[in-house]
Amino acid sequence: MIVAERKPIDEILGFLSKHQKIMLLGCGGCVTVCLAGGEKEVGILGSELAMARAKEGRPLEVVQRTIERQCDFEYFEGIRHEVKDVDAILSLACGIGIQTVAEAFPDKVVWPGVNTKFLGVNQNVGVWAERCQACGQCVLDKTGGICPVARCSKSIFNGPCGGSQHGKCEVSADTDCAWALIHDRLTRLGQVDSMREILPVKDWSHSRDGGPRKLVREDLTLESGK
Amino acid sequence: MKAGSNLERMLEAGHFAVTGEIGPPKSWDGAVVQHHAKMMKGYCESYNLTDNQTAIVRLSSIAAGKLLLDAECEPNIQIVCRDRNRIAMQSDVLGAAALGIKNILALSGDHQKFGNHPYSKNVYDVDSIQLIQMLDGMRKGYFQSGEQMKGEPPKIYIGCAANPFADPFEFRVTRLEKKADAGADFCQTQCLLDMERFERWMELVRARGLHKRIKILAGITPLKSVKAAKYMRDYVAGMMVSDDIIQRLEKAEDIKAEGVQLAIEQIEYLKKMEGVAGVHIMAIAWEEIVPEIVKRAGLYPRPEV
Amino acid sequence: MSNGKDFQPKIVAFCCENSGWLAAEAAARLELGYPEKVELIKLPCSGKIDVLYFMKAMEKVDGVMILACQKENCKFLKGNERAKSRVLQTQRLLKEIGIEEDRVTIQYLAANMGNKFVEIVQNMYDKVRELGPNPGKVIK
Repeated sequence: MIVAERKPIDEILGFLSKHQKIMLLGCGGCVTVCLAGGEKEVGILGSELAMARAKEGRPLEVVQRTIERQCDFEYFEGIRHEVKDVDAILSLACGIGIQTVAEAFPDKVVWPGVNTKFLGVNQNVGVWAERCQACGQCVLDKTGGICPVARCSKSIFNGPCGGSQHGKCEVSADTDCAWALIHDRLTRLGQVDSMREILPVKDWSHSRDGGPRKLVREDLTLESGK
Repeated sequence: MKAGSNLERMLEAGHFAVTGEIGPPKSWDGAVVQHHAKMMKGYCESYNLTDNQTAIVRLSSIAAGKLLLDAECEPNIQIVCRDRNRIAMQSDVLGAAALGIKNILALSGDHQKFGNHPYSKNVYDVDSIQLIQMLDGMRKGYFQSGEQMKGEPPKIYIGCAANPFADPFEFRVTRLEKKADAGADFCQTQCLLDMERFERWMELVRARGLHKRIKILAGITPLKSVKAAKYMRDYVAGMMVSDDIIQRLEKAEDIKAEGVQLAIEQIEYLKKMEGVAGVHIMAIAWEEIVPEIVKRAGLYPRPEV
Repeated sequence: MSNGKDFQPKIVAFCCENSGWLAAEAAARLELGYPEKVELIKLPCSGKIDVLYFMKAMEKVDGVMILACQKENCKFLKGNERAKSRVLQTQRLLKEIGIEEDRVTIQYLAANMGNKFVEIVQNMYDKVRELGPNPGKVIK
């Protein structure tokens, strides 16, 4: 899932300083699962913002809504009539959702309420870790199901580098060395000899480096566009 | 001969080689580089010039290489994968060759987190093994893209690093093998402060016949203090310092003299070890000690090749 | 709004039905009085409390508390520990908008402690009275 974290409260309050009535918009997708921007977080942040502004003697009306997903245009139809009446929308969705809100309501100010962190997994309650960098050309077949692009601090393809010790990365004792994990897993699978092969220079054009990406599947597109 | 550098000729002639290291300054004061070069001149075949070592901005390794050439010392420029993509790296290789630089050492590079610009973006377009492949391709006349180069290919003697003290231990020899497969001609190891581990690594290297495919120069660092030794042991990732070394320094009356003596004994020992082609002396911020170590280890004067 | 002597804080006390709520009943049986502006809300376990409940309550009152079973005595094993961590989370949220953390608290007691119930409620009442009205109150 996409993992996000609420922005610092002062930053959010700064965004909203000139507004009297906003919509605080949650998303039922990834940010609900990672406890950053679902219905409950909307409720909590809504209270916090209202209290912070009440304390300043400048009340803020917070319309609290959470929709199925903010990354699909269809779900905005249900709130369109309410959006008319607010000064701005504070979106708690990931960067994708925030941009979709802005696109769906071109005349409305849209503020980001979260920092989108990474694509990751929930390891424990309150603990998430990065797993994928959406590089566009998966190499997990060669690396025992452990991604060196996202999980090696240097994204190298022929690790571990000389900074790997006791299974940890030179960057931090809290960070597992991805290549040590790959080595251990391939050893367990009886495939460690495959690490003798030099993985070739990566074609980064499939990643962000090739420019903004777009996927079109001719087999799925409809004439009407909808 | 691939590049005909002094270092290459010495190793190919089968002499026990000696290389040194110079860390360019955090300023544009090129005299610092030349001062260190002059201090060690005649005692080493070539001198490594670090590339923004520990991710701290320093005078560029290629520019420092040119300063060394002007001082009639042979440079061995390091290139890390952290700061440049394949376009910039290949451009730099051509530039270095145009200046007369013949030895290039490929490294991953320390992560920028601990340098003086921890908020920077890192590159790692290619990794160190892929960089070796790229250098090997260039000296054969091809850019990484496969496009053929115009005119004579650059002459490069390709170096790499090996760290017998990092983990997983069994993989460390495989990694060296991959570097040899990629086209590396010589390797310099992380500084050797645990002889027992190094010997175990060398046994595996010899078992695979790797010492016949790639020249191995063992890293030597004379220790100046017990504190430094303990710091390396405890806080530097991929370093090991054995207890006997620390105990020897602790017992010594003159720690610096003991550090030098230890380095000399290590070199004497390594001279007899099968598969070790030379030593790489890293006496950063203690360059003036290199001549004494080389002399007392019986490696001076350097053979003519 | 005044912080004068006539200030009577409004407090919500969420009560675990196995301890706080029964202790309140015990207090009633003993005919012990406590400040009238304390509203009790029954929960099946202190672990049912949520940051959201605390925050919504804080929009209209001056202090909130959760009355939980004594340590190691939760019928659902860890409900009271969870409640404690939610109190801490709520305190952190209040602190970041400049509202006193002491307006949220957790207290532990057993079902038969009528006197203790009154003491806890009175102490909280006195503390909040001292703090004065909740500066972030939205619904007055």
